[in-house]
Order: sequence, then structure tokens, then C-alpha cells
Amino acid sequence: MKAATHTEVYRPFRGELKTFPLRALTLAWSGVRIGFRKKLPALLLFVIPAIATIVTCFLVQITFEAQNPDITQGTIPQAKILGALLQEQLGKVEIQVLALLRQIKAFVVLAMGWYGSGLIAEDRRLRANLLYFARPLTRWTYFLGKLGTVCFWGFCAVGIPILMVSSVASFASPNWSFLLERWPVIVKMEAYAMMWVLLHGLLVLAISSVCERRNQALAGLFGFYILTSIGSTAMSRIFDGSAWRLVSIPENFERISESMFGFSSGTRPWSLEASLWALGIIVFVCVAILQVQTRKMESGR
Amino acid sequence: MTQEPIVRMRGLVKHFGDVQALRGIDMDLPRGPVGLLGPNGAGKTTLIGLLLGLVEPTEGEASIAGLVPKSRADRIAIRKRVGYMPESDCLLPGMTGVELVSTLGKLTGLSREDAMTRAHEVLDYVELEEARYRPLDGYSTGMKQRLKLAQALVHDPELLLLDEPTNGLDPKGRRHMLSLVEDLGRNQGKNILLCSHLLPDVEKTCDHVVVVVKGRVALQGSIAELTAADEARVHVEVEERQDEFEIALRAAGMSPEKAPTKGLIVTVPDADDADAICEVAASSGFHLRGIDPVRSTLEQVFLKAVDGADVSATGSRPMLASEEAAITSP
Repeated sequence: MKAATHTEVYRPFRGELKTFPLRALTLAWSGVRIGFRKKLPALLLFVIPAIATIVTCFLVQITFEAQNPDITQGTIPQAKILGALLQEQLGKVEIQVLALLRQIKAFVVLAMGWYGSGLIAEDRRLRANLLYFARPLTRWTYFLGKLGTVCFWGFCAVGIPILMVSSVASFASPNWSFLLERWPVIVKMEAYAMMWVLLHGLLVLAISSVCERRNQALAGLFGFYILTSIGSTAMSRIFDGSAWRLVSIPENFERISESMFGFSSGTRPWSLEASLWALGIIVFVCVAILQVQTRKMESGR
Repeated sequence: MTQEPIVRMRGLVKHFGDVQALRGIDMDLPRGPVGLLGPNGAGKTTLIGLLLGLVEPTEGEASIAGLVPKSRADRIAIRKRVGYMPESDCLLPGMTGVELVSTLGKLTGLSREDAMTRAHEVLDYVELEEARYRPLDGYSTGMKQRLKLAQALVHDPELLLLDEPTNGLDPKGRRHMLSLVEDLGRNQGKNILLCSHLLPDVEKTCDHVVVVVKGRVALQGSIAELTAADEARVHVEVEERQDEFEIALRAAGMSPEKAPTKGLIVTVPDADDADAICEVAASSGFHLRGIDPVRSTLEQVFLKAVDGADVSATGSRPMLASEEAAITSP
């Protein structure tokens, strides 16, 4: 039947709605697709981490080359000395990965902030929450969807480089020994990276949820990050107490990495539990803020 | 057989702190297109929020198609059966029209293939042809409104909640939107709850109307019944010498008034007294061109309903036909 008032016909839907669709995944992927449209920021934000990753891959390759029996047990004394020097300087793969993370962390936070700051702030400003919550979507699903989007960009900036370095290490190691014998290190590195991404994702979303606009949220994120990092260092120096450094997110992650990968710089005298508590409190506050804000959004405010 | 009402509300009360948004709403919304009218702050948006389960009532309960949005499972089930077109812009920039509609379809529970098919079908229906592939940033107000209607329709809901669908539209866009709403309600058999400030929009597209004033239902019923002929008033037209006919009617004990356009409005004590007008005309030698009972307009019905309510500012009540005509006339 053709509608009398206009040219197109309304077709009723004959299918069925799914009982348990992966709504959070749909929401996360729609956010990622919007992000992919912004090509220039992607180029600017990911080019430095990409270069740093490639350099690290070369260093890992050289490390394993230096362990080659032809060099270590060879007859050329200069090669032996060079090989030993390289091994001493470059150290283990995980040390190189942690060094890589230190180099790129500012860009990772920038990338996550750039793509994640507007996720809730813009929804609220444009009142897109009305479209989402008028559907069979719970606050939890909405939260997971948004977290999925921001973590995707974090994973691209941190998780992929770690996978690349691990792959190079596996290929370069004799008889795949890195993959076969030291695979727990790969798992630990990825777990460490994911913990890093998850906490920053929550932080980005919590700040986004209390801001009116994306730019405010971005500024808020960097304000928070700089204030806690610089502030904690300054306070620890003024009051001569290392406890102040627990306020800094990077310091706590450094402490966790020391415990996870079994080395100590000796500059962080507090316990692992203290760092976990400090980060746990940040996670708790972020989740609480998100809970309150998404509740408001659900009720149309 | 009487059909079960699509929406049923019993003793619905909602307080926001000290503000009483709803003060005991009792209503049964029949199936088909229903208009929801009321001044700003009357509680229309709160009512929609309650129906979607976004806001919890302080007292009472509302049900949609027999489902009460009390538990989370019920709210989810209700939202699958309802399509909501919000008043505000609410469209995310960076997406294209077809992406937005299909994504929202998938969020409702459509499979990927169904969501894409439905997105194209409903975008065809609202006549967003090639524009569907353009980013939403470049959409005009009319296109945005039609896109919002499309997203509300994507899962083919049982009930459509349309909040000010003609908001910000030019006369052409408004006509188009109204034709879509009218088609959905009258030809496609959709249940529609249309919130509008524009009484002519409701009159054109709806069969029933509910007037909410200060959180209470002031009036509800079918438009045909509410605007039924007021038999105590008749509109009379004579071929010529209208002024003299007016004097003759006064002499016969009647009280005629000049009609806004042409002819006279005569208030008679009883409908049967219309014969008396004919007698006056015959005895005085006037040729009657027409004599019709006067029907109330929705505007009059609305004003009667809000009579007594404190509607001081013009902007705080729905726009009347005369005001709306002044805006929309080219």
C-alpha cells in the first residue's frame, strides 16, 4: 500500500529482536568508528609511539643478536666485548618495554584523552543520552560501551606496541625461546599495559562525565595529571616524605612494574600494597562519579 | 469489542524535591494517535520519562501494553516496544544518518543485517535519500527531525512517543513531518503519543487528546467528541442586508454577534430555537444562505480546560491557531 501523503511506503519489521545482543560492544564500536574519521589527530598522536616502538623492536633484535653463540663464543675479541656490552646496556626485553612505556606514556594519555574526553560530555551536551536510554540499555552497558571505546585507543597506543616488541623478541630469540620459555613475561607486560589503560580510561570518562564540553574534559584530564604528578613531587620535596608521591599515578605504576618484573630502582621506598591502594581509590572515585553521572543522564538530566 | 488502552496510568505522582511535577494522573490512552497538550511545566516530559521507565514515580503506576516499568527487566521490555523521538537535537556529529539509525537499531536488539536493512527502509520512508550517507553535522533542522523520527521507527515499535516533532521546522518541513505522523497514525496503525505546543498539529494528526495542566489531567477524550457541535450556537448567513437582519433578530429576543469572517453567530436557548431564526427571516423577507451549528475548535476546548489555571505568559501555553498561522504564513 502506498502512503497517500508522501512518496515512500512504511514497511513493518517482520523479524525478531535479539534477547541478549552485545549492546556494549555495539556502543563501543560506534565510538571507535567516529574516532577513525579523525585522521589527522590519529597521525599526530600515534606517530611518536609508532616510531618509539620500531626503535625498541630494533633494540630487542640487537639484544638477541648479541646473544648469538657466534659472537659470545667466537674468536673475535672485539665482537665478544661488543656483545657483552650490548647485553649489559640493553638488558631484558621487559626492561626495554617499560622504557618504551615511559617514553610514550604522555602520548598515550593524550590519545586516550583526545578520543575519550568527548564520549560522555558531548552525549550530555547534545542530549544524546535521551536516544541511548530510551532503548533497552542499562547504565552499566552504557558505561562499558564508553569504556570500550576509550580503552580501544589506549590498547592501540600501548597494547599493540607491546605485542609487536614481544613478536620481534619471539622471532629473534633462538628456537622461539622467548615465546616458549618466557611467555609469562608477555602476559605480564600485557596485563600491566591493560591495567594502565583501564585506569586511564576510567579517569578520562569520569572527567568527561562532569564536564560540559570535550575541550573542558581534555583540559581537566591534563590538569589532573599534571597537578598530581608535579604536585606530589613538589610536596614530597617540601615535606621530605615519599608518601606524597603516592598521589601520582605514574609513580604508582612504576612501583607496580618494579614488583611485577622483579627489579628495583630504590627510589620508591613504599610498599606495593600502598600503590595498589592508591590506584584502587582512584578507580573507586572514578566509578562512583560515573555511577552518579550516568544515573542523572538516564533520568534525562 | 473495546481495545485495551495502550497506556494506563493510575494515581501517578512525581515529586522532584519540593516541585510537584505530577499530582495524581489517571488516564487511559486509547490505541491510535493521541495528542498530549499542556503549558510548559505541565509535566509532559516527566510523563514521557515515566513511561520509558527513566524516572520512577513517587506514587502510583503507569503501564504500557500491560507492562509496568517497575523492575529492570520490565523497563527493558517496555523500551523494546517504544520508539522515542526527543525534542532536543541529540544527534552525535561525526556519524552519518544511516550509521546512527542502524547503531540505534542494534542497541535495541536488531541483528546487524536487520539493523542495516531497517535503517535504509525507515530512511527511505522519511525521505532522507542520499543525505543518509552524509555526516550529521551538515543536516538541516528538517532533516534532523526526520532522522530522529527514523531512529524512533527503526525497530518498528508498538508505541511512538513524539516530543515536539515539528519544533523549529519551516512551513514546508512542518507539513512534511505532519504528513508522516498522520500516515503512521492513521494508515499504518501506529500508536502515537504526540506532545506538541501547536494545537493545529494535534488536530491534524490525532484522534484523541489529553490536556495536562499543573501535573493533572484537565481534559481527555476524542477530538470529535470534545469539539462536537455546540447546539446552543448557530452560524447564520443571509444573502444581503445583514445589519437589518441582526436588528430583526434582536427584536425577536435573540442576541446575535458578528462572526469573525462572515455572517452572524446567534446564541439560542435551545437547539430547536433555530427554527425561530428561520421564522424571523421568513417574516422579515430575508433570504437565508446558510444556518449551521457552531463547532468548538480544539483551541476553545483547550482554553476552556486550562481556564482557572495560572497561564499568565503567552509563551507558557500552547500556541493557538491564530498565532501559529501568523508565524507559518509566508
